[in-house]
Amino acid sequence: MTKGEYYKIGFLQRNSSKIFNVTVYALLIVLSSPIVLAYAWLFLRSFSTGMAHGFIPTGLTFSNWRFMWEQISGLPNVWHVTFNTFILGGSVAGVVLLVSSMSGFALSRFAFKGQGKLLLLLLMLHAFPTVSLMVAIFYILRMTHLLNSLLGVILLRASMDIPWATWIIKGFYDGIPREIEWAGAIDGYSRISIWRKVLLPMVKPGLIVIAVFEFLSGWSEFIFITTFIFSNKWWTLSQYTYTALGGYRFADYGLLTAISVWYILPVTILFIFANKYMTQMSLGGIKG
Amino acid sequence: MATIKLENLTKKFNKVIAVNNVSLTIKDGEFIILLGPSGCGKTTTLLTIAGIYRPTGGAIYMNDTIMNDIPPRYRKIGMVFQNYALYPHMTVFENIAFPLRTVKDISKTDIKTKVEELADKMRIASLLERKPSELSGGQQQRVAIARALAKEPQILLFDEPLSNLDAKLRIIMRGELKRLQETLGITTVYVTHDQSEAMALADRVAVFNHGILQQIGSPEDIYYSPRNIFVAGFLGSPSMNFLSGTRLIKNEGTAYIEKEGKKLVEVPSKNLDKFENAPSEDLILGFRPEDCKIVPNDEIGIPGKIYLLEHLGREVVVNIEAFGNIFKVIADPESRFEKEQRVVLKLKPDRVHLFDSKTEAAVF
Ligand SMILES: Nc1ncnc2c1ncn2[C@@H]1O[C@H](COP(=O)(O)OP(=O)(O)OP(=O)(O)O)[C@@H](O)[C@H]1O
Ligand SMILES: [Mg+2]
Repeated sequence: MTKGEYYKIGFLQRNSSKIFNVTVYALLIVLSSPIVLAYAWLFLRSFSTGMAHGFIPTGLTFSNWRFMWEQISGLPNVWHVTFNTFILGGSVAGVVLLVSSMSGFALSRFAFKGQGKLLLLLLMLHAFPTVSLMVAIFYILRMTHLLNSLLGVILLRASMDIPWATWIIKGFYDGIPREIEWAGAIDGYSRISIWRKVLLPMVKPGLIVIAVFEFLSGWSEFIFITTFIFSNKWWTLSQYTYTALGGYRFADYGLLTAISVWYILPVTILFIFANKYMTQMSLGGIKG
Repeated sequence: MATIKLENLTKKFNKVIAVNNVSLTIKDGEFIILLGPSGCGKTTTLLTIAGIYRPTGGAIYMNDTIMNDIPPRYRKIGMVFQNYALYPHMTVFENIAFPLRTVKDISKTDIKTKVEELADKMRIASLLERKPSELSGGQQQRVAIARALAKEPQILLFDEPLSNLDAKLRIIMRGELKRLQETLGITTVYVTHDQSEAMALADRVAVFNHGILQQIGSPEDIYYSPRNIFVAGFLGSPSMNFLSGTRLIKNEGTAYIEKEGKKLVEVPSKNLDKFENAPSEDLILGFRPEDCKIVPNDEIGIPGKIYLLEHLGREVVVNIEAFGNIFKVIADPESRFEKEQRVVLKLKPDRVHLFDSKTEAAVF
C-alpha cells in the first residue's frame, strides 16, 4: 500500500477499535457464507460418487470429469468449446481495451461541444437491457453476414461494454496532470508516442481492471451465443453448460457439477491473480 | 546558443486575454525572470515560448527564425515544471534518459554515460534506481533539472521551480541554479511570483500584470526606477509606502511635495524638468521603508505617530500612522521608540518617487 492509499482509507482506520473490526469481519463471513458453501459443495461433489445427507461425500471418483476425455452425446468436444470461450473472452477484452484506451483519452483531454451530453448518453446506453435490442441486432448481423459467427458475438459484446470501459478509463486519464504530457512533448516525443510511452503505462491499473472484467464478460456471455449462434462449432462454455443442464442427463449431478467447476475455474484463477489491481482500483485510481 | 524575441505576442483563451501584446528580446545566455502576481500570464508566456500553446497573435523568434508553428520537440528547449512532472512509472534513470532516447543513432552506452554525468552534476547519482514517489521534493527537483538538461538544450524554461520547496531549501537551490546557469551559459527564462527570487537570480526582470509587460530591466533598474505604481509596489518587502493627494509647490526657488499645507519632502532640482509632461496636482508620493529616518521633530517631513513596532531581529519595522495611512519604516533595532509617540518621517529626497494618480505612471 502506498502512502496516498494509506491516507485515503485513514478515516476507516481511525474508527477501528478491535470490536469494530471483529464485527465487520463476522458480518462479512455470515453474508458470504452461502456462496462459499455453495462453491465448496460444487467442488466436492464433482469428485465424489454421491453425497450422503446432501453434503457428505461418499467416495472419490474421476468419472464425473469424463466429459474431458470422452464424447458425451449431445455435447460437442469440451476442449474445442473451451478454446472458443477463451477466444471470446480474450477478443472482447482486446477490442474493448483498444477502443476505450483511446476514446477515454479523447474524452478526458479534448474539450468539445456537447461533451457532457455525450458522456451522459454513453452511460445511458450501458443502462439499456440488452434483450430489448435483440431484433435490431439480428437484422444488423444478417446484413453484415455476422450471424452464426463468433466474430459477431465478439463485436456485440464489446460494443455493449465500451461505454462503461470508456467511462472508467477516462477517470484514470483525468488524474494525470497536463504537465506530464507537456514534459513529453518537450522531451522530444510526438503526441502519439507520448500517449503510448507515458500515458498508457500510467493508466495501466485501469486497463488491467477493464481487461479482467471484459474477459469475464466474454467468458460468461450467454444471450448472444444462444440467440445468434446456430452451430455448435461456435459454442462457448456458457452454452455448453446450459445445454448439459437442460438435457436429459438431469439426474447426473456428478457430471453437471464437474462441468460447472470446469466453467468457473479459469475465472477464479484470473481473479486471484488480478486481485491486487482490483483493490487498488476501488481505493481510487492511480498511485505514482 | 540562442536568442529569443517576442514580438507583440498575444494569447487568448476564449475571452480571457492571458498575454497581451508582449514584446521583448532575450539575449544569448541571459537569465530573464518573468515576475508578476498570480494569474498575470507568466506561465502562459512560458508555455507559448515552449510551443505548448500556439500564439493567438504576434510572433516568437529563436535565433531570428520564426517559431510560431514549430512543435515543442523541435525547439531545442528544456523545461522544469512547478510540480516537476516526472514520469511516475519510470525510475530516475529512465526519467533522465527519456529525452535522450529520441536522439538519432545514440547508443545504449552513450545514454548511460550521459545520464550518469548529469546525475553526478545534480548530485543524485545514488538515486538512479528509485521511482519519483520515493524522492523528496528537493530530490525530484534535481531530477527534473537533470532531465531538462539531458539533450543539451539551447534554452531553459523554469516555471516556479522552487515554490514547492521549504524556505531553507529554496535559498540553497536558488544559489545552485544561479551557478548552474552561469557555468552552462544557457539562455534561461524563469517564472516566479517571488520578488526576492527575481532580484537574486535575474540578469533582467520582466514584470507582468494582467498579461501586460509593465517593465523590463535589471533588478536595480526595476527596484530603484519603477515605471509605474504597480512595479513600485510589487518589488520590495515590506513594499513601498504610498501617499495620495499630494502636489508640487515652489517656494523661493525650492520645490516641495506637500499635502494639506504641510511640506513633506524637497524635490531635487534635477527632477524638476520631469514635470513638463506631467501634472503637478493630484500626485502619489512613494517611498521605500528603508529610505527614510524617524526624527522627533522637523519642519519638513511627514508628521505622524507610532502605531505598532514589529521586531524582526536584524531590524525593526516601525508602523507609523499619518494622514490616515499606515507607513512601514525600517529602523535600527537599537533605537528606542514608544507606541503612540509623535514623530516626523524624514524622507531621502533623491529616493522619493512620484506618480501621476490618473495614469499611475511614474513622474520620477
Ligand atoms: N488553458 C487555459 N484555459 C483558459 N484560461 C487559461 C488557461 N491557462 C491560463 N488561463 C488564464 O489565463 C490567465 C493567465 O494564466 P497563467 O497561468 O499564465 O498565470 P500565471 O501568471 O502563471 O499565474 P500563477 O502565478 O498563478 O501560476 C489566467 O486568468 C488564467 O485563468
Ligand atoms: Mg503559473
